[in-house]
Amino acid sequence: MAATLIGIVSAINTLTPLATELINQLRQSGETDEQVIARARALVAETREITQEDMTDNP
Amino acid sequence: MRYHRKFVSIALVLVLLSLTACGPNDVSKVKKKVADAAAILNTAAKSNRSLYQSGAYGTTGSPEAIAKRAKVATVIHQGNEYLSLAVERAANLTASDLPAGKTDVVKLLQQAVTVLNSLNIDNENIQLVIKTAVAAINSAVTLTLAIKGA
Repeated sequence: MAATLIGIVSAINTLTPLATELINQLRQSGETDEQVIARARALVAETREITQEDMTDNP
Repeated sequence: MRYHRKFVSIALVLVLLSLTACGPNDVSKVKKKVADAAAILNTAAKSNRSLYQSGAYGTTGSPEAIAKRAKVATVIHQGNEYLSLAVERAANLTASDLPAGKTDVVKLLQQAVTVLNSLNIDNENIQLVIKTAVAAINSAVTLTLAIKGA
């Protein structure tokens, strides 16, 4: 019984990230060109913000 | 018989057009590849911060750890600026502009790769992250080049 439960929990732990990734892929596959570019611009802006902070001496 | 020949001729023309034309799908594919590259570099930037915070660069807050984080962040920042230009080029891409636009986008992605490859740091974790980002951007370059209309 315990082994079965451990197996189920383990399977859920393994499948959840895969399911999340699949949902993300499906969501992105339905994007319009404008949405794709908006997402890319947001990613570039976030990366710029992170790197600008991390280039300073701020601990 | 005459109609049959006409049908075959029209079918041949349509097949040739479909092989050479730059449809809206091709433009969308290029935009998606650029967005994929932006996502990869974003992950690399976040990984750099996580590695610093976890103490992988040395004691968090120490000058040595801050210097390593800054060195990696500088390289990612420079690569990201090329990617920003690639995103803007892709944003203005149209079917009629595809061959030239593809070339511009590929050049900018390759410049980002060159910058990322210039990183020399004694930390295996971040080296792996950067190598993965380089491989993924190179893959985006290959896939972009493979889109018809070159």
